[in-house]
Amino acid sequence: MLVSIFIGLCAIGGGLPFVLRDRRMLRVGTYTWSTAVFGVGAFAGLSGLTEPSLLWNGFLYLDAFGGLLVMLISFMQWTAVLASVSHLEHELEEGTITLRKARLYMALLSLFVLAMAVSALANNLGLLWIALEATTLATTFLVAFYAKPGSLEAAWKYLILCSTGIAFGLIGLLLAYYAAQGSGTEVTLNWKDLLALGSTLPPQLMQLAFIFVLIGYGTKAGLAPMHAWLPDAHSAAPAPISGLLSGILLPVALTAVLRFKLIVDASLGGSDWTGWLLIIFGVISVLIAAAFILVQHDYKRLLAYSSIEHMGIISILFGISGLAAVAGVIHLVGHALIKSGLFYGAASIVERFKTTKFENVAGIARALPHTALLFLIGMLALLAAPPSPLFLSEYVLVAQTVVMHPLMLAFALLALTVIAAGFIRQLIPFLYSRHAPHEHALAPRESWTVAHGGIALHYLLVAALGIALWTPQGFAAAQHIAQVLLK
Amino acid sequence: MLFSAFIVSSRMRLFSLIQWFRIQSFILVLYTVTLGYMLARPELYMSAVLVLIVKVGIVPYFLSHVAIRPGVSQRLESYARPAVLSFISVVLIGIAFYVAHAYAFPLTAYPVVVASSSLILIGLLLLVTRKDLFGQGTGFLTLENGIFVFGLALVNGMPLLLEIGILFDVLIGFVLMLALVYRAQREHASVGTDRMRDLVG
Repeated sequence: MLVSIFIGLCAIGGGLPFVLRDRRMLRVGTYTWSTAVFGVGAFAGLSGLTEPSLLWNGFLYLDAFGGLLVMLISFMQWTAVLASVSHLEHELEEGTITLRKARLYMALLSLFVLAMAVSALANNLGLLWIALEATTLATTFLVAFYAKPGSLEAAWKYLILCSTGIAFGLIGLLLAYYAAQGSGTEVTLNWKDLLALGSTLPPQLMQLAFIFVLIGYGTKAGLAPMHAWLPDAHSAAPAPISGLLSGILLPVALTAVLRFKLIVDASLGGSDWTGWLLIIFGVISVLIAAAFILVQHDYKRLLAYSSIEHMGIISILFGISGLAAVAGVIHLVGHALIKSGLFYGAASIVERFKTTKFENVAGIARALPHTALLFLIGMLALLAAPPSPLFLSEYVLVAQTVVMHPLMLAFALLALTVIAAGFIRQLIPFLYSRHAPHEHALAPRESWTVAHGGIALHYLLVAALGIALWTPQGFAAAQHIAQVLLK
Repeated sequence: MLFSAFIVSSRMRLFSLIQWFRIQSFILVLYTVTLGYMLARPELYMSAVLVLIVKVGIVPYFLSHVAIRPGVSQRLESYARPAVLSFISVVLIGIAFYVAHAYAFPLTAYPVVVASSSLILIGLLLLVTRKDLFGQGTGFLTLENGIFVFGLALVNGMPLLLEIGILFDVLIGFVLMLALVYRAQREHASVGTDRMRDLVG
């Protein structure tokens, strides 16, 4: 029931901005809508944490992991709307965009949230595919939102690469469906049913299907080497949208792979083969991200490559399975909250300096003291300084791989070190250098806004999560959620 | 269908590319109807009608509509010459035969699996080698056709509801592609991707 209301609310959001007359109405209306979605989503997600339930004739399935994703989506869309409204107001004032475009932005944002919510909850694998493709479609225009050079290229690349990638996922799905039909019984494409059939499915065919699904949905999840669209799309899109893309869309796509992995594991009778594939793709992602982070000229692209890195870490963790999967869940949540906070912060920097290149931005701490402070906290949390929950998950990563996959760990640790060095090398001058390129950019000292409040809320949650995980109850809750993806 | 895919791969003129895509989709419709008749599954007629509307009607119509706007060159560009592309397509079709053989799909579906995997591979070829938005767009749609046939051959089509959803996604994707093509024409006065390779690293 709650879930239906939640999805209905998201759908309403797609039309709402067009009936709101002026700027004030648009602002108030969007705030109200977003808060309602947040409230309902939080409760709907909570109900999933306690007890799994099948909904809508088996098309949707709300379990603990789905519930977690729904809570994350509804919380992050709320802060994204807070950040977006102040960002859009600023641009309306400057005349960069028109009210019509602001409406379109909000409508697409809510359709994006709707598509993500459905993908997080889908039980029917076909519906999951449709919803994931819908996330691409809803965000293509947001990527091409500004008439800047490069945004068109980024949008085209995003649309073509993600659609083609996900088309491969469909091949994998068809193969799985074919395999299930061979087992004789009347089959559906429902995840639960396929999972139950699991051991009767022909392993060879399921392996082929998994490769297609991994490549297909992996494209959407930003795993290297299928990540080419990601830095472009993240740097071209408005910063709050980049925050959502990176923080929650990538994990939702990765979840699709992980859920499919369970079916394949059941058919193969073990998780070694799929685990290895995930670990290899994960290590490649971390390595590639490290190489590009070190030489990056653009701070939004830097954050985008860091998302590739973290998706890599999460897929390594789920590849190892067991205790590491619990760390994977923790990492997923921590990364989602931190990375989107950083992107929302980047929105204020873009507003002031009008560029995303490092060379034209420096000394943010003088011009934008609040943003700079929040950015610094976010960066430290992202680099897994305790009490960030990422510290715990990366600690588990090391502890688990040191015996089982020492070589992979060596690569991953090398990359993580390079990434930490790269981040500090790029971001410390960026925040604290005294040589500002434009003195006028330093002019009015910024005041604390709603958007800052949103970011601070993210970091408070991150800190709370980090501390809660050291208590037995907190860790047990994470275990309970990870259990869904372990079987 | 194999033949049409083969032809599409080497077409360099825009209108002929669109026409051949239309023919390819029409064969797809015929196949769906035949299959629906043979298996006595009326819902396949429904998806055939939908494919007819979307891929034989709307998509080629709007493609050619955009194609006659000023600024669109009729001559398409590619990284390889047509002869080379034809040759690569033959190789890809060979690979398709091999794959279908290796996985020992049911005998009745064998030729169709070959045709569909060829379509998928040739669609990819178009995506990789073409230098303009039309060529890449057609490549994507060919790939999509291939997957649709693959689904028909293997599992006699997805459940109707999902089929509708997938077609809807493709349609919206196509609309978005067209919108981006319009914008490319306005901003660069061309639909080539030469102006669109600044984003690296």
